[in-house]
Amino acid sequence: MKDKDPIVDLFESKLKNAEFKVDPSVWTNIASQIPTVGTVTTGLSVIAKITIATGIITAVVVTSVLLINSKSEKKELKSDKTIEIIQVEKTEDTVVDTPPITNTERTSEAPVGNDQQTEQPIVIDEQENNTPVVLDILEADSFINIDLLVEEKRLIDEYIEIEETILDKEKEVESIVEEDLIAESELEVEKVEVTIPNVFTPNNDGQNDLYNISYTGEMNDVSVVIFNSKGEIVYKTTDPDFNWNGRNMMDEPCPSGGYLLMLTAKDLRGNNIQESRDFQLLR
Amino acid sequence: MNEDILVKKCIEGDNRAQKKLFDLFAPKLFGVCLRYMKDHNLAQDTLQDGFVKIFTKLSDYNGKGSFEGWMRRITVNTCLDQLRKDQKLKVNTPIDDVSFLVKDNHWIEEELTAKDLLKLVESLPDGYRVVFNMFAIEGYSHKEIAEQLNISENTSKSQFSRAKSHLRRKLIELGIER
Repeated sequence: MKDKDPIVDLFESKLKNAEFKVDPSVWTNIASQIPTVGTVTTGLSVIAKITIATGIITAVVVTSVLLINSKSEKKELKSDKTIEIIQVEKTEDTVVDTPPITNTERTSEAPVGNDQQTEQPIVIDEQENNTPVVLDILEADSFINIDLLVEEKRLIDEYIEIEETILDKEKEVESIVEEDLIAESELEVEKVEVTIPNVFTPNNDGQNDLYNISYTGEMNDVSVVIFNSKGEIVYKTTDPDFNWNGRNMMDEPCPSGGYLLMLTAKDLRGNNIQESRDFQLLR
Repeated sequence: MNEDILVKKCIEGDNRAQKKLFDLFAPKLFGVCLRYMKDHNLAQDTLQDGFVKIFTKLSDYNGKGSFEGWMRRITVNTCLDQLRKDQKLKVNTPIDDVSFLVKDNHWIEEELTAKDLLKLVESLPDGYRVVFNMFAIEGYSHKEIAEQLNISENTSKSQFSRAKSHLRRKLIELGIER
């Protein structure tokens, strides 16, 4: 288990979500390595999913209708099971609630496809007589046929409704996203941040032998001056990427001690940047 | 800003959305890279590799768990890959290798900033630093660390405790009692 150590706490709390300025060149490099399509029309995938889902439901409904029909026409007792399954699956199972047809002595054949909208009075045509078992199945079938068709229509209506709400929502969110993206791209000029190290060891050991600064963004009119503790200028440059070797203007090695770096520059918007920092030179 | 929509747009390849995602998370993930990589330029390269991975694997993100956590894991793994490549995960680096002297008067008076602490973390030898980062900051268990770095669990524990005592010493040097 993790012990709650004050040191761990300190570092975790300060560093876990710490954010650091990222050089814009990183993005340029990434953008060149990933596929992009510029601005594309979006928002179709959710609708597409619903379309597919509704399509599948419709297909299942139609297939079951056909299946039941073909089976009942063949007068197979097996279809009894199919009906039961479908009844269980339907959430709004009206078949159970439908009042039984009074005409039990005759076979009934529902007018599939002719009368899709009507729910109640079923036209019953007189046909050949059948065994009571088959008759039962056929009756149930006709109800299911109509029922399924009504259900199907209801699903389609529902789908259209859902689709419209989703479209509205998508448009809403998308416009917010768009605005956001536009607003972001207008704020491209990066803030300049200069990091000046606080120690410098020009002893040729390969570490910190040259003194330089790091910065983000772009600077113009740069001027860097380094003073020693007596206030004398020991180094002067206009190059922000300078490397100071620890020697003064006469090319003599500067002694260990405190030094001061002063930097003035302008950022791309013309704002003045001023940084100063005292640092140790150690030999 | 809706994260799901942004991710979706990124998968579709909208480059403005990709830029936006980068802008949103890069600073934080750069912080992760800096902690592991020590060197600023190397951290920048690793951030870049990490983001390319994030963008190419974006469609694999299953929406379970935090998106940021997912990106963070990819970033940490990219750092570890890089360190492995550079053979930097060799353990037992002597602690005296630390060359950057951390000494600054401001720290005593003011609150320690993330940057200051980062400098301390950076001052740790590679093996210590990685274990400390994974355990203390990312919250991996010693077991997970051992598996990831191919070291024993005990090594992970000892590296962590040595890293901690090193940091404690540095903090005391700075005059901060902890």
